[in-house]
Amino acid sequence: MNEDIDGLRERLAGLVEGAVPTSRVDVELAARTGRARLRRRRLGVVGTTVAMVLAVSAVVSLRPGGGPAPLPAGPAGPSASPSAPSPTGRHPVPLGTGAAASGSQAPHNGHDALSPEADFGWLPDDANGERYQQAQYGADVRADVYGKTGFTPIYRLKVYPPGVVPEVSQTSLAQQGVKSPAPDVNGSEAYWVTNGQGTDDVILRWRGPDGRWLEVTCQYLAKADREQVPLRIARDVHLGKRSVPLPAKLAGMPAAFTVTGVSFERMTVQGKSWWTYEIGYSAGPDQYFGITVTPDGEAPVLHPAPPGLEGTPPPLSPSDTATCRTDKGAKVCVRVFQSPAMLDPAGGPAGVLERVTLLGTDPSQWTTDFPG
Amino acid sequence: MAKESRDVDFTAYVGSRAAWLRNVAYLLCADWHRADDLVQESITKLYTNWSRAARAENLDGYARTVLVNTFLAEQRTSWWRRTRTGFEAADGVATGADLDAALDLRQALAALPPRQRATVVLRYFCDLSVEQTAEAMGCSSGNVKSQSSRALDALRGSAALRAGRAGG
Repeated sequence: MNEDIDGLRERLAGLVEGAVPTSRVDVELAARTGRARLRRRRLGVVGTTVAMVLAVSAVVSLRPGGGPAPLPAGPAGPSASPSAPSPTGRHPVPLGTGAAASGSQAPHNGHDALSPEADFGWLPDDANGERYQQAQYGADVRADVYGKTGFTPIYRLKVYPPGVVPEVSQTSLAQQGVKSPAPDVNGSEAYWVTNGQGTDDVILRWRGPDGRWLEVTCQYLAKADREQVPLRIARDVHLGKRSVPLPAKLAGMPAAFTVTGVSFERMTVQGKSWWTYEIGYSAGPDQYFGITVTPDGEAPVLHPAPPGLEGTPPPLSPSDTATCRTDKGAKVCVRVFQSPAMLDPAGGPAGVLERVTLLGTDPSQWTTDFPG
Repeated sequence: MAKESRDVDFTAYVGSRAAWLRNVAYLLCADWHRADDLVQESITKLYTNWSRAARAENLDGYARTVLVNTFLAEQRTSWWRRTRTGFEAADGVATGADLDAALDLRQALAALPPRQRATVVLRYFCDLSVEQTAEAMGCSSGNVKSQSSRALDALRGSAALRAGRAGG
């Protein structure tokens, strides 16, 4: 038995005792859904083979030496390893990023909702997913390592508004941040924030050329990387607002529906390119639904199960009521928490989908306007 | 016949363990509705892998591993879902100020990053060893130790455990 810490075991047990809501877990539904997945899994072997054959005809160029790259071309677009390794042996992620990636992001047009203030210019070569997100808590750019088990690094880039000086205690990593000096970043002052206990998470903050503070948060980094990787990321950050092209337009949503967040993520996992555009909505107190746009195809496995659990399908929340349609090689789904009745003002899930115009899989046809 | 046997065994097992899995799920996600979703998805996965699961030496451990991995995977996908719960910010971490303001253990637990929360639940609610926790989470023992240490430090610093100590 583990040492009890401050009565933690007893107190945890206390959290799940007493009056709890009636369970919605449905064993019969699990068996029915499981049977359907097993059938799809058997059929999927054939479908995947066909998709891969089609994919080799697609052309996905990479930015040589960190130059511009297009957004993923479709559900199964092939990718290649980036060239021109950096002096450290690492190289930019094979995704359009930053000012150098002018082919993938447009200059900010002043009224779009997904407009990062900065972007990664360099990332360790195992970072294969990049997400731009804007929600109630703020906006940032996040890079992930997909396709591996266990703890994999996460990199987050954030720009503080002009005049805002972040407090040391204002960190996401530690209850009480500890500040320590860091080497200058491109000639500007910089410092580290950690929790002072030698853990594998670290924040590097530095002043940008326009005086704003920037921050890169690195989680689950190997010990050998905890200084050099954040510093290299910081040195190559591209500062400047730009607009993320989005693969769908939305029009005519009821005024009662409010947007809670928008994100666009693109990735290349095990040779497969993919992207996901998500819009979160609130239809009222504790009533949430989301619209997701992806290529119409089989998504790559982002989080493989640990050894012994291979073959489990990607996560899918079963209580989501998902209604989808496809067009121009893309797929849009509306997923509802709790009761689908929340969508009645729009005419139900089908009414929501009617308000979405899919723009296909060619990023040159996408829009930087939101909702579009 | 095989399918019928599979369904009977599966239904019997899940029927006896659903409440326990739901409790673990609740401690992981701090939301009973989400806990139901997690359990529902986990038992569906369990069904699809029942032929392997039923042969496992420790079926409870297998089910628990599926549940924890479903929870952790969800943290890095379906981003918009988490915005409603405030679990999005540096891998789901609330700020230090949020932790200081936590008034009870549930809030303090919910404010931990997902992996730290999972290590606390597995080690101190499920009473697993470091090695068993590492196996369930698909990571190294060292990772479990560091995650546990950070989580306990955060919980100790929060009002929740300070109150626990004060109260004996």
